[in-house]
Amino acid sequence: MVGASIYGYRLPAEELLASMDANGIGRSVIAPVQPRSYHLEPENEAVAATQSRYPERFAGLCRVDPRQGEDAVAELQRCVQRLDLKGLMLHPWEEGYTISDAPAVRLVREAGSLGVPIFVAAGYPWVAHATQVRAVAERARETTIVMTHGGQINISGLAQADAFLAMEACENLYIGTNGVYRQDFLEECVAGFGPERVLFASMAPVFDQGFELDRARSIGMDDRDRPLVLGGNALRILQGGAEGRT
Amino acid sequence: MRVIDSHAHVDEYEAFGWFDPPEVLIGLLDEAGIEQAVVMTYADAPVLKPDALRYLHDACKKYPTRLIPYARINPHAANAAALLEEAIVDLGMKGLKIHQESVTAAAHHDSVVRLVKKAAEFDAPALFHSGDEPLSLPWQFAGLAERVPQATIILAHMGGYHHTEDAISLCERYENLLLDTSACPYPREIKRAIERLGAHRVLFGSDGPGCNPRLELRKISRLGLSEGERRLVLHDNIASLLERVRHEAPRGPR
Repeated sequence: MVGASIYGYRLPAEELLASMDANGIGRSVIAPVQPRSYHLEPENEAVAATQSRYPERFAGLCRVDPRQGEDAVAELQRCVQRLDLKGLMLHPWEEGYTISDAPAVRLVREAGSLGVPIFVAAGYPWVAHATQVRAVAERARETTIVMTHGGQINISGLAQADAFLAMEACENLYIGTNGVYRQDFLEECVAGFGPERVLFASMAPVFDQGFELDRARSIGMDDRDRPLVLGGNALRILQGGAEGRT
Repeated sequence: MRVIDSHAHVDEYEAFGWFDPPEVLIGLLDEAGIEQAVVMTYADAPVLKPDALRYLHDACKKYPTRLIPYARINPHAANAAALLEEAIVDLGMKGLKIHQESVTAAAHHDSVVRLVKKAAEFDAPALFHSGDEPLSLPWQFAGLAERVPQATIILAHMGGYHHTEDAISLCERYENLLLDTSACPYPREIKRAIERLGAHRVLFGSDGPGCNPRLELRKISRLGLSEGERRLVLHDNIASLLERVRHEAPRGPR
């Protein structure tokens, strides 16, 4: 996530590029932060400008707040159709809404109509638990939805079953690897759902990009499939949206 | 450099869906170049798994130079203190593990305090889960740290995903608290803990085999620690705790 967040973290695009170079990462999907101003539109424009400046290195997502209703839908349309952003980032925890509420579902469906994927900051209790993301995925089958954090943020492992069941129930759900508790959960997802549904993700700067790459590289899996996790899946999803599903 | 993993697991427990006999962990320790590991079950004796301590004892007997057992006990059990004493005196176990979410007790609960006092009678460390769940929040340890200042209390995971600052701040207040690095997803927070508390208060742990010991060790290698700091975190801190444990029943009134 690039920019200066109201939550205290910040990552300028150039610093991210330096991190990518240091870690041998060719491309990153980037999304706006929640800025101190509370206004996401300028952040979307900044991400679009960064994407234009480094088209070989960045694919940009927009970020909207579903509570803004039709204005949020219009902003999503503007970002995809006019700013050429490649998908939508929803962060229910930081914005303060529930992913399974009607306004968010409306946006998820709209993204599907536009042919772009959703990245949900998932696993947060109360607002973006895997069961809640699953409820959305079931109502928006045409939309490709990536759950960050493996769909579960719980350092006892007690949310893993819900994330696993959500993946099992909804073929339009994928997981990102950032910060996932227990490597064997990632391995079970690769084995259970195929390597096509697991994406390396860092969520830098909240998580350390280099260490998160270590995490993705450490997944016990067939090395021939690893390129999918390390980039192939992300490219396919961003290029094809729901149609790019395998 | 010699490495002791201060937090790992050996158990086969169907209810959690985790099947990790000792061979699984030993293979991963070998892969990571880790000499020894402190291990405990996933299930708590005697409630979830009546034979948990015997299972662990037998598993460690297969690898006596590699695996060091901690007794994972439900403090609500009427015989919890007796079980711990048996584990340390008769089975040679080296510490106590309590997972508050598993046993439905916050760290300040009277039953937990009683059991930690019993561990302290043997100078045995007490390892606790800490994280973001309702019974595992770092500041909930304040009451325990105050009531049992003679105990060595280790907070696993450094407060999880959203409570690392709480865990570090708490350790600044109570000197009998230590942190373990297992599954902490933020290398920078481990570095910050070492800067604020000193390397003598931070223990390397993997929470393996679910969390890959080699990956967890790699996290430590990213911190840019001095040779002396690395030795403390990876080996000497936990080694000195384990050496202090006494395996004789305490004398005098209890």
